[in-house]
Amino acid sequence: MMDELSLLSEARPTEAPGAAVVADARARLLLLARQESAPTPARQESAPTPARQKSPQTPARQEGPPIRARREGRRPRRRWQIAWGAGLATAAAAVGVAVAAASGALTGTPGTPPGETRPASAADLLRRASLVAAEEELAPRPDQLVHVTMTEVAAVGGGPASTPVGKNPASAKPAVTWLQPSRWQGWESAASKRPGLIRIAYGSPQPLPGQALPTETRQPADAEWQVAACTGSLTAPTYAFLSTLPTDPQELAKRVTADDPEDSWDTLSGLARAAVVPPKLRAAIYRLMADQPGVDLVTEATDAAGRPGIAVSKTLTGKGIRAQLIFAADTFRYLGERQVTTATNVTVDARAVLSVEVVDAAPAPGPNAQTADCGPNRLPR
Amino acid sequence: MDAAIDELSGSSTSDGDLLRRSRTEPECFAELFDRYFAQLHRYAARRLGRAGGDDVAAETMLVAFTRRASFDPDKGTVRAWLFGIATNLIRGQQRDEIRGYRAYARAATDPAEPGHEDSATARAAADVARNRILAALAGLSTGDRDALLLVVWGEMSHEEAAAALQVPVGTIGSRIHRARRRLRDALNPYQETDERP
Repeated sequence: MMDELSLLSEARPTEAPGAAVVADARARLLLLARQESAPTPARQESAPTPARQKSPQTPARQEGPPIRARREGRRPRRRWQIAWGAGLATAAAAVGVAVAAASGALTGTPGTPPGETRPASAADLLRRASLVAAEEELAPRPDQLVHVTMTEVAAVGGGPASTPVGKNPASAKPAVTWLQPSRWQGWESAASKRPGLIRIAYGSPQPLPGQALPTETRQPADAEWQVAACTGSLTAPTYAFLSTLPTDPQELAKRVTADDPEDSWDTLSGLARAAVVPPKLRAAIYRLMADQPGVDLVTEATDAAGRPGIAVSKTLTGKGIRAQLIFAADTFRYLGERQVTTATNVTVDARAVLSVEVVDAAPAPGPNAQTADCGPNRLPR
Repeated sequence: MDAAIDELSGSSTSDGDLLRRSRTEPECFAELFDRYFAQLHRYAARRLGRAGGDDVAAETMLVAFTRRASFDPDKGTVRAWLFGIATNLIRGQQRDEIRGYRAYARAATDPAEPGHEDSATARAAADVARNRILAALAGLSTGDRDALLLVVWGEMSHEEAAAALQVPVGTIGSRIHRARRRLRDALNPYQETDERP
């Protein structure tokens, strides 16, 4: 009879950890390590190591508005501005929208360098995005507004109902369909206390891939809405509303997950779409998304502004689309999203966040501005 | 930054020196990851199953990294410290761990699985014995189980296990002695007690 220790020592053998598991764990550790390597006033006095030299450095600024100082104190964003500039040029050329980069706008926060490996899975990507998001520091004051600029390309049906293609595959046979680019700008009160403004400038209609532009195609007129101060909800989250949500993933799950996983995904991606989200909440949102079933990694995805990225993809069979969230491949920050039909593999809706800034006032509405309230006719975003 | 890791990769720099250096050059911690992740994973996965092992091994490295300033070389090796962190994390999932061991109980009492009758070999007997041992782990106290599994599955000396659990070396000895007796009982359920030491 063998003795109990030798029996135990050979009991329950395990396989070595999978390469993806090791890579993921190592990347998470390095991400944490590099966040700590980010320069602080104390460390800047010591001789920089090769490790630190690779981390981009921007000294904290004491002057300037508090928000900008706080954001720039942690990490520089120059690199992203360059990247976005290139993307903007592409977008402008592609869709004919006149795009002018708002001078002085904060165009996003480029990240801590991620792990040296590429994400091995959608969950891996979302976890890394979560780690990066948790380090964000943008927080508008209650009296301020969040100004977001996006570029969007949506397939629109020119039929009587003007139904966007792909939303309902059963009835998605409009007589006329084209891709309608637009540039969307929104100003929204952080505390839901002041009216906001939405401006949409439309570009030249484009044909669907492999098709001619229908003769009935019409480019919509540019539009402007003055929007009432709405408190926000899960489907139309304002910063004030988001600030009320729990930042613990399990607590958040109780609020947002539904019986149908496709509904849960819809809600979570709707929250992720918000331009300014409390950092821990955004981290929790990505964590929950990482736990959703049937999420695939798309290693190369281009956003609506032409920027290359890496995406997670969830097939929503009820809608006949694959909903994808696109992240910057190097920083894991949110770039935008797109919806691709499962049947025809056509991108029917894509939007990319071009800039996010916190401002003290919205521009005055023009003479032709319409008004929009908070009810069911509230403008979609 | 990768230059720092490359330079350290496979080098003979001691664990303690690496840890100290990681306090000012955080990326150096990656070398400790490379040295110990697989070991920690093997240990944790045997206790919690593969998925639990994935989580605990990864979490151990993150926890260790954030606590690296508090590592005290006078209290033991870096390896012992890491296994101590992993053991603490495993305790947080103790219910899952015990449920995992109990799953072996049925196999242990029911050796007549198909295919075993016609070849009642020593191999089949050893399978039964191993299942009984695993099932018996569920019945150990937490301290006894930690000590035993650090030594057997973690392949640690009594001194290292003592450092990992922050208890005296003699305590490890008595815990393992007690645990072994429980396992022997499980192996020989019908044996008279007078045969035991």
